[in-house]
Amino acid sequence: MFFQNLLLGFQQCLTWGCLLWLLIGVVLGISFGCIPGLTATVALTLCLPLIYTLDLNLAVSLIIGMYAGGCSGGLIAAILINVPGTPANIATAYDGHPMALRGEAAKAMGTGILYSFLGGTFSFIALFAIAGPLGKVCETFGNRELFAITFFALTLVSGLAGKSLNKGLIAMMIGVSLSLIGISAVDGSPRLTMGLSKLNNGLEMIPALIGFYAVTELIKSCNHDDRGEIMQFTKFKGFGISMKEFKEQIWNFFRSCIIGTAIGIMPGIGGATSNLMAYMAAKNSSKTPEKFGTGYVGGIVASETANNAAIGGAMVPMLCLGIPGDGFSAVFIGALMLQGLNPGPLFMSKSSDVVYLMYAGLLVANTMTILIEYFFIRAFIKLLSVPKHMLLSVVIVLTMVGAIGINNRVFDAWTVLIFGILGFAMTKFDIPMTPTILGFILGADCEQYLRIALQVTQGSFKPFFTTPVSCVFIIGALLSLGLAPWFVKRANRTPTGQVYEEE
Amino acid sequence: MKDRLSPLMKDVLSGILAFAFAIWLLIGCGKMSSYASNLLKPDFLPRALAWLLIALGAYTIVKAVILRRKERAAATVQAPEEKKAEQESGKRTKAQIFNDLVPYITFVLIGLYLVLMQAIGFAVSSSLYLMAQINLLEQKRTPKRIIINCVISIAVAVIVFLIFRKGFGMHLPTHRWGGLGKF
Repeated sequence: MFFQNLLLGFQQCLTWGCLLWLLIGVVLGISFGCIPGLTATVALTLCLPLIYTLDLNLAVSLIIGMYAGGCSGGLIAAILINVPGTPANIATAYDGHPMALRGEAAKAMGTGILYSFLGGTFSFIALFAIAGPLGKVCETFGNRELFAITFFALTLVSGLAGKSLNKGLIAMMIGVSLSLIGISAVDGSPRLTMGLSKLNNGLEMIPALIGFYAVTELIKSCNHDDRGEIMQFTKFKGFGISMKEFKEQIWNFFRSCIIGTAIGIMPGIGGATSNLMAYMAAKNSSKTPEKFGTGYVGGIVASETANNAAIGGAMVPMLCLGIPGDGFSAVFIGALMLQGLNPGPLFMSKSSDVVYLMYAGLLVANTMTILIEYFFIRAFIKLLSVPKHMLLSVVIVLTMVGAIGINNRVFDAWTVLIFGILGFAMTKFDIPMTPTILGFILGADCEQYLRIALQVTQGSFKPFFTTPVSCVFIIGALLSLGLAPWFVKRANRTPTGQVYEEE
Repeated sequence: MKDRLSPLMKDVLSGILAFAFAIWLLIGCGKMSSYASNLLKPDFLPRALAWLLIALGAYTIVKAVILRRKERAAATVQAPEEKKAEQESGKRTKAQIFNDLVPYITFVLIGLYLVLMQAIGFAVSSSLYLMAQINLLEQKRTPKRIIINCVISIAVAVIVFLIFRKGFGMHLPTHRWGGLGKF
């Protein structure tokens, strides 16, 4: 049945239209990924007006292409100018740039491109294996289980994102508060609307995400120009890595795949964390840890494998429960909603054709990414010289267009600005943004599940602990809060001092 | 982005942000009315969040102040020369100060842009915004560059308007005088 559906997915994906939009998505993803300050998430937010007008299959192909290309594209800037294109490529710069300085830029790039592909492919296979069975289990969940899972996701990300637990909790509560604006779904009471009728339906998710992700990132990078000298390289010879080195890196590869996929599955955390975690794991288990950071191929293998492996992982909670695994999947959920889909526990069964198109699209886009990066790398390197003052300004205008396009009203552009200011302030105060995003996406649902569940149980919390799934997740939530200080302490010991920060 | 806020200041400001949200929630709760009888009233969660935010905000500030005091007590007394040298190295040039202000100016520009967009339409307001923003971020502001930037701004704004308004049929704000509404 699975393979039959997957074949149908490929049948849909391998049409000229879908292939074209996948290609456009991959090129856009690599382009935005390789320019520091821009990410695939920004590319997706800019394409929202376009996605709104496209046919469902074409829109999904475009998004999937951007997802696959964006993560890999960041390695170009990381290696050639020592500035990671996206937070998911931070660890790539540790060894990639020293290799480039030694005249081994082609080897570093080739290795990065190859392991991006392999890591992505591993995680997509993991996604196929996990999402199907998990999706079937999720369909049986009632309000108690759904409350417990969303509550677990919120507490988990609050504890893991950032350097302090209390700031993570503050961030999550701010997000939940913002999600409560509008008419309550349970009893129809208007809440926190401040008398504005435009807020009766609540804050729109997409403008809020544009403000948080795109505008904050753009504003952060607009008062400095990180570009250093762009390192040059002659041409690829194979992928640069020898068979001996490939064999030496097999365990590093599999370990990084598992770390990347596992971290991707955790809500709200993504490639930004996985690459650093995998790098640390590779360094700690290496017989020659002193080589890491000096231009060692193992560092690139760990980082690039893990950040691409996080893509498939991040799609597991998104497809099965409607919980975003990372920043991109948060906007992805919004984009699917624009297309009239409703990601959640029933998404896998109700929209199985779209799900299998995504599966097929991920594999095809991953293959396109390696081919495009291998053969057209020079075109993307040229993007590193685009004047940043022009690019950022134009992108800000396009984000506003994207916001206005959702409901054809300027009010949503104001939402972008307000969320941009909030995101910028939070970044300045070292408050992690991921819990706020997750709180904003899940907060109202979490409350709704709780209120309905309590109506069913007539106010008793006992059934929450007698249902196995809800009991496990509520205990998991309490444990994640209890263990958070230990995780934060560990995170602060890493090279950057802040592992669990969002993309 | 260079960080000029001290850890203490960051924590204090985080606490203040939490308080601000808590106050907003409490004010909002005062105006809430329920149309149906439920076990959990609609103001239950906002009210609970408000008090939790107050508690967490206060904890963040108090913890930061205590840590700062401990650090001060543990720190050795600096020699006056060392202190002076530190202050000298900490002095910023006008260009650096301006650079730090760029994000805030950008927010103001975006705000003005949105106000103008409703008044004079998308195309003209976007042209004006882009002129201001591009020239603000421009590293070498020579008259020639400024003029080129202005020309590019107008061209980009018109192209974006035409693509999204005419191409995708989006209802971008227009004005009969300045919004290219009759294009």
